[in-house]
Amino acid sequence: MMFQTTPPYPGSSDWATIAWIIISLFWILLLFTDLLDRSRLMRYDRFVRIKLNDLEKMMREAREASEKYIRDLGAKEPNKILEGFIGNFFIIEPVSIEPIDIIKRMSHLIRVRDNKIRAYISERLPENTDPVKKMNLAIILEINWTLDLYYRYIRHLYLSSKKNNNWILLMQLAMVLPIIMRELEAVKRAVEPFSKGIPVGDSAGPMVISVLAPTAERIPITEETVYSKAEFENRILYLIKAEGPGGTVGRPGEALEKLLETLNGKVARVITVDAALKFEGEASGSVAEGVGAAIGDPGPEKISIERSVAKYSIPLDAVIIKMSSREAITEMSKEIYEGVLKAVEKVKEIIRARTKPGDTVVIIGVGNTVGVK
Amino acid sequence: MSSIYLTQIDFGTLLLLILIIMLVISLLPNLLKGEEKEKRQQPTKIYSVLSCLECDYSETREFVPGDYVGKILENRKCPKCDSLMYVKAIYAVYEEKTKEKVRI
Repeated sequence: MMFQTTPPYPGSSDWATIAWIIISLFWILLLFTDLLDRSRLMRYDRFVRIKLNDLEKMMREAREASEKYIRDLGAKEPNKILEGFIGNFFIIEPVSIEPIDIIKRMSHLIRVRDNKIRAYISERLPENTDPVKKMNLAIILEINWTLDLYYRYIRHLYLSSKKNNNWILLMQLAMVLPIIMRELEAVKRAVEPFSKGIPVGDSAGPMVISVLAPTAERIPITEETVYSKAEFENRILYLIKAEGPGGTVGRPGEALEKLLETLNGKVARVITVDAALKFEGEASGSVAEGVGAAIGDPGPEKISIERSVAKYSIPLDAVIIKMSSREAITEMSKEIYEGVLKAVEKVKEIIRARTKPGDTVVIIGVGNTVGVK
Repeated sequence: MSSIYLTQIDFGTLLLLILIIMLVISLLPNLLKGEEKEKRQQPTKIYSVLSCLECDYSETREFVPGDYVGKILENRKCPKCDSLMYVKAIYAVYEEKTKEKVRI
């Protein structure tokens, strides 16, 4: 043997004994001091810093792709358009401790913000810019806004945890960051479908309308929302969707309210079709049917649908196409397209089974109508 | 002068070696995870489903910029009945979709 000295016990070498003493001391330090916690925290700290760098990179990539899109629209300083939008255009939620007319107040604030965004875009782009591309730009700006907000918020939590020596906050942040990053990765990827005008998973609802009546005239009914009239097995169908093919969700609630007023409430059934979040393990594109308003807005549109059908006592059906949050904002997958076809069949089944020939049925395709006319 | 043979290693040294090997093995999954993340970002292919306005003919081709669902294609005629065709749907095929499947 190389280091043959007097062994402390039979069959043992000197260097091994020293190593064991060091390891034993190390164990004592780990067990009886907060060295273990601190070493873990160092790992969490490093992990959060890496994720923050990844997020910054994602933000930069989204910004570069967005700048290219804005430049192609003819704007001279795309980075200024992005910088002017990011960090601004926040919305302060209405007072909820006094709930009277909260929906009216919320709806008003959402509309003020929407109009502000539209004006911001129109002021900065050439006059002859395609309105569809302007609508898509509004979504692209929102994507950059979201990524920036999350980056700043995560950085705030990280720096606060370091400043206040808050171990729990740092650990919680490290635990939850992989999920957040996965969602934000999908948000970043959403720039591409919106810049190319490709339908996303959330476009499933409007696509159902398009499959039901592909060539029917789209008549404007309210801001960024249209309706079409079609016939199906001796029933009259009114089909509501957002005005495409630009990226918008329209105002389906307000549109239904107006349509029902025009028809004096003489409608046999209202069917809402929308994309819905699936549970982990469920198949993407599977279709389910229920009762209620299938719509995921902050409140004003949903309550408008509920109030309208309740006023005239019209049965309200919901058909949902299941998908993950990632699938909802990235290019529509083949599975979801197949789900759209299944949803069309489900809608036809409902009409055949629960309405009579001569009845009027309203179908609302809820969702972002990017790439769908 | 001479090298260490396995039979000459004492119990303490053996434990130390096992500890080092276990440490290396515990680090391996982290390296493998990094590779999986790269695979998840495979590019996608986008297709447009074209359908005839009159008959049931339908075909699928790669997405062309400017396509949107409901677009009537003026320069494309149905090979079966010579009517106009329209874009019925646009969808993406994700190349490594199977990776996200969960087997219970």
